[in-house]
Amino acid sequence: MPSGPCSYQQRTGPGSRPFTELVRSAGVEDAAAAERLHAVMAALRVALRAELRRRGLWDKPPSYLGVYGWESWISKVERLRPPGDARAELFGEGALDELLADCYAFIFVDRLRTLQAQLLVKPNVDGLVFRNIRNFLYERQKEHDPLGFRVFEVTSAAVRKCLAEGSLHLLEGDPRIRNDTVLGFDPAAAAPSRQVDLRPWAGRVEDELLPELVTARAEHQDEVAGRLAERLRELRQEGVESVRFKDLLDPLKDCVRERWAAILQGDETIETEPELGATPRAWLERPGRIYEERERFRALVACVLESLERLQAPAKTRAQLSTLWQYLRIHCADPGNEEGAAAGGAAEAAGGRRVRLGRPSDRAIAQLLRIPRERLPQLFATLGRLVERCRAPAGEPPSMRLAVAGEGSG
Amino acid sequence: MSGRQGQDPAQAAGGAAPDAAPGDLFVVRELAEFEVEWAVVARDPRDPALLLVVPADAHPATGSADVRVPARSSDGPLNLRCAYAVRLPGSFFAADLRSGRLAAPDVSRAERRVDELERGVLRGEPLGQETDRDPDYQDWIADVVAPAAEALTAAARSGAPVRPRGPAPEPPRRRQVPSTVAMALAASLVLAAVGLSWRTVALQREVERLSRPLFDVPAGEVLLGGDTRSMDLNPVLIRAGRGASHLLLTVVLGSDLPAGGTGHLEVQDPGGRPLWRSPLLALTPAAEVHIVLPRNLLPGPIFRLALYRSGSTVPFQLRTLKIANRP
Repeated sequence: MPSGPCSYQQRTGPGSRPFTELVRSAGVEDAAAAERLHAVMAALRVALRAELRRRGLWDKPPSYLGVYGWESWISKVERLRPPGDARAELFGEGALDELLADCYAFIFVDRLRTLQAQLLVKPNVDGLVFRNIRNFLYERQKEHDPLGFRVFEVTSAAVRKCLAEGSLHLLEGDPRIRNDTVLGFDPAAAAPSRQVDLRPWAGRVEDELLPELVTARAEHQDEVAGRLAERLRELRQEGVESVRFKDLLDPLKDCVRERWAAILQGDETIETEPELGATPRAWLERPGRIYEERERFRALVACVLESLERLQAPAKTRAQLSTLWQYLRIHCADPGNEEGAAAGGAAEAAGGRRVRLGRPSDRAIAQLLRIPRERLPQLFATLGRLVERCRAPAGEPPSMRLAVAGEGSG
Repeated sequence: MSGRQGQDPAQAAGGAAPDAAPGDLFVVRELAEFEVEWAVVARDPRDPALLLVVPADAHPATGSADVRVPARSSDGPLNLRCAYAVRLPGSFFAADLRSGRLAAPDVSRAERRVDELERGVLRGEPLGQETDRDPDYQDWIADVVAPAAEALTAAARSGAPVRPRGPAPEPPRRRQVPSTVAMALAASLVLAAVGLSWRTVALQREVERLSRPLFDVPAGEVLLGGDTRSMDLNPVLIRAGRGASHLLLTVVLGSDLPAGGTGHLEVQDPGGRPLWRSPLLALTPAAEVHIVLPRNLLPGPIFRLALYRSGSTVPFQLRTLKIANRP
């Protein structure tokens, strides 16, 4: 049997449509079933690799997409497999295998009915499968690389704002503002002939806009995008006439990730306050890969967000609670925080302090979020109560009358 | 039915779905280029012969106006895009193109959501509001959902398929290629070709539509400032026929506006997401500004008009507008 992704075409001839054939024959257990599955996995692997490259994810750690325990997409498993080993065609790249299995389930298990529905009116659904591959990666990236996703979201909004105002112009590439989009300060500007080094600019932007760049919500997010748009316009004064969106985005992402990691690195303890010992202290653990766990996590996040909107508290407190909650959401999914998902890992330290490995201290969180450290225990306690109520079986968002800890309303 | 041009889709398909009812999912052959199904969420209470239908798709993002049908629900995962509801005759769908059936609670949620949207009282869940700002979600809505709803509206209005034609064109066939790199390149080209062909068709359609004179354009007047409150939540009604493609808005700036300022007008969806922003505008008291709004810019019958002073990100004046059906 030939190995490699083109083997399917060699077996079935050009013009075959592995995805459509699989959808059309779903549930049919015939002699060709294994062959069809084999062909789909090979074609899906090729498409997945191409899309990872297109999104600039091929050179990033697999943990950015929720695949943990591998340093890169090209793992040792493949290299050690003997040439000609037929299994290498289906499996052999540890990280990519995991992603492939999840992608297969996303498309051909969860969405099989919708694909079959489209087959009622289309001759084939291969195009729809490619669209689903993009949707799958979009969802994984949003879920597992929240820092990167938030920076993309705000930067994209800032660029769109500049385009609408006419301070930036679309020179070439995807008009939907993607990695290959080229932007210029003059409609007649030439595309950059080489990559523009925007790291110094990104460092200044990150100094000014963190933590709001990643923790701001709703209309505050628009304000941050507005401020970033101002910084974008200043690029022209630094001699930049045109830039590829990817060259703009990547340094910003890198700076934010570095700052995030630098503040939290090595800070592996949190302290529980004795006087708040009986009060639940908010913390989030990364949901597992089981569907129900992810649904519960989603419901919890939605419930706490809704509760925060209804909470009777001074505006400043609400803003701090919102920032802290956004931080917790991001921290628990942060790919740089692989231990963040681990439960347990707790020990009693001297003085009765409870030490939990892998969780940053109040000092580090206060520095990162620019919230006074002395406020954090109260804020954590309030969030802890909200989380606890949202986890309750009734699932009702906590009452608007819920008091903010330490603010005297009971 | 493919190729039998100009016929009612249901008749051409071999018979309408006489029992099309809330909860049913359908596909429409003439709208096959759009990757959506159509979910019947209710009968129109004012005219039970009409069905209230929303686009349903499997893109994972759920905005504030959408209803999410989880993967473990009947026929999930789906998102019901309730801001793009269309009313059409119960006989429109073909019985043999029924593609699924939603669970009753999901149908009820969608019906309530459409009602909230049409009454302009949708509060929107915070998680959905986050998604409203997601560029990928915005692109999906703009590229797929909104054009699909527009095409179905046109089909329903004319009683015939919006673009009668033969079977959907096959994407370019792949040639046998010798390497992984070439295979990956081929996959990318297929994506690009499908996208380009869709965009070309959409552009041709748009050019044809824009070349026609506009007649009897529904008009409305909105006062920003003056005696009205700065954040008036009572919607301004604009009467428009079902087929109206454009709206003429006359925006009157209040006489109490401070002279000499500048600002922008912004058309927003009910959740506050900007849909269009005007060029810089002199805020002259009592001045009139005329805007011709393409109907397909708007996500549904409810939208907002905001006035921003230059340099401010908070709207100085905000009005909700509602397009009501002209009898």
